[in-house]
Amino acid sequence: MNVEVVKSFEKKYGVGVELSTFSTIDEAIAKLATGAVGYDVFVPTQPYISLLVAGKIIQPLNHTYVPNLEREVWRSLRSPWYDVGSRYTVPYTVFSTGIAWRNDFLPDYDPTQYSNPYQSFWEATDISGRVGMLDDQREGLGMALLRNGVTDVNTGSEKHVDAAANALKELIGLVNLRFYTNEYQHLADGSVWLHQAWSGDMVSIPYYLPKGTPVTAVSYWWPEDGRGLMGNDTFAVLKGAKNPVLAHLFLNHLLEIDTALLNMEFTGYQQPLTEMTPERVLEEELIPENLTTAIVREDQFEHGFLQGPLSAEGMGIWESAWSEVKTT
Amino acid sequence: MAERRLWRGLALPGVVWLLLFVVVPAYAVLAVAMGQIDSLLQPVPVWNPFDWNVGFIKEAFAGVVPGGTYWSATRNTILYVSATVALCFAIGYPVAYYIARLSGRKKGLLLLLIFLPFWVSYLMRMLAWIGLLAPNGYVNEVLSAVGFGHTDWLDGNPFSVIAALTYGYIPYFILPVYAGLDRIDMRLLEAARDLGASRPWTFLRVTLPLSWPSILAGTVLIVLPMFGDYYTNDLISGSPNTNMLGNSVNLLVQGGSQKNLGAAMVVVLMTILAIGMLYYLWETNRQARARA
Repeated sequence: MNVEVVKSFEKKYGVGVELSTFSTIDEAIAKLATGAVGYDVFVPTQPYISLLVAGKIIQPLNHTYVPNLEREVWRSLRSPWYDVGSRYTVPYTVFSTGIAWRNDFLPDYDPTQYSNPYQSFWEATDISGRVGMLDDQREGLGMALLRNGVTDVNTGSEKHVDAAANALKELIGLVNLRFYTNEYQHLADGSVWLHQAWSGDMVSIPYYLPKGTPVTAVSYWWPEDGRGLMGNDTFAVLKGAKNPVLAHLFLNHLLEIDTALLNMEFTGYQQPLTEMTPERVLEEELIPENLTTAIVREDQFEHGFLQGPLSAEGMGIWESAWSEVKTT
Repeated sequence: MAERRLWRGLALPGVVWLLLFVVVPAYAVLAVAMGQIDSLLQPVPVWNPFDWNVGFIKEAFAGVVPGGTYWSATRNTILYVSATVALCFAIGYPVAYYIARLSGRKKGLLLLLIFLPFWVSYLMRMLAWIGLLAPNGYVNEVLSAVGFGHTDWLDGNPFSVIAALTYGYIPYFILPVYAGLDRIDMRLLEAARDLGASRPWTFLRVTLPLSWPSILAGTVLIVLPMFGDYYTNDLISGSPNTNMLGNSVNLLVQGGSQKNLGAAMVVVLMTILAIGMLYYLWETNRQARARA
């Protein structure tokens, strides 16, 4: 999060805000579950909301303090399927997970030339060692599911998840697949030419490109009709919040377009606000023209395959499958 | 009697330190490895040994043998660590020997140069190597200039991982070996030469055996952290083909419901390393007895 966003809230309400970050959401939950930490607001990634509600870690929201939810947020996320009525959360960022490549090294590559664009990874044997995938269980297996023609990216089917894991194991052998979460750095330094990528990371990639490499050297693809992998983060107020009203006001502050633009300037990640269109972020010079595909539109979001919570059994299946992929 | 009490008393801080920072954490790992998991997917340690669940431990041990899920990581760990120890010996021993035979300011300067890498964080040194080994980095530029062409150092190959491990850990090997060589009584070498031994023979029959305990100490010092190392591999390779046991532990404890299994993998690592440590203790005891 951009510290300027925090500062603008502090100035607006005359209060002080302390920002703490965690390496992983599991680490955050472990600390929050003890009840020993006195935070007011938490940013959980969406698939974890049900766990947080069941564990009584977050509290129901009072929407009268968050009018921007109705005023600014995409209609489709005012009452999302994972939190009907936005009872516990308001949306923070949305992002797509697509394909990024260095078009200066791969001038003839175009994922749309394939009947299934994800298949292009399995056919990239001539650039072995230059192909990467996000080091993330949901993203990696999710892309393999789509490559196998399975669009339920939250499936609990052992058959489908195992087939996805086998496809990834095959891919590791075919292209000496690399796993990274800092794909923007590896694409920028040219050590990887083709990588599964998060849209927000691609928005930030101009800052990582070495001198002399133009931003037009990077391309990003995600299905134009929105039928691709998507994810989102949310904001919630913690059960033991000592400043619940201020916590709600902070959520409302984050849902203002000016705040969201200021935040995107630092993080590269967009928020699902009606005014945050590709045209607007281009006008604000937050994104280069060749990477506007990294901005998700509301109509695309409505058709996308949003990663959501898994059942306890499903979680076990996904984790075992991912362990097998990563220990090939 | 009072003197004996005094000596025992002096050991007290060390014993307390060991209890607090070795025994208690090791027991906590065991309690998690044989514990449960709660509804928030957080591991719940079980402190009472009578309630321990050995399922995760069994799974972890079954995983590291040939045919198991973690066998490739185990094999890679043994291969990479062995190759790194061999390289550290091949490069580090002559360096330590050379420094030990120097005297005065030169010795101090070279020791300082060996210590210098300690001043920069391990992670930063590895990140620097990424820049150097990148496709358009200085290493490739130099190789191209002398006609060797470009090499894909960072394409997930095991040689780069071994080279990075060697670079990262070699100072830890050189220092104890240097200390051991420096302590060797020169009169023993002179005696060997007086008795007709050639220079190579003196080295093989006197210097090398006398420096063996320090070689073992250096090996222990680098093997222990290397068995748990995962970031060197993550940074230099990023490919599952070069995964080590540390990467498997990191994968399991980072998220999800398999943290107990991750702790069980740590128990496996501790067991493997305990075997090595027992050998080290037996060997150093044997040497001490021989000297006595």
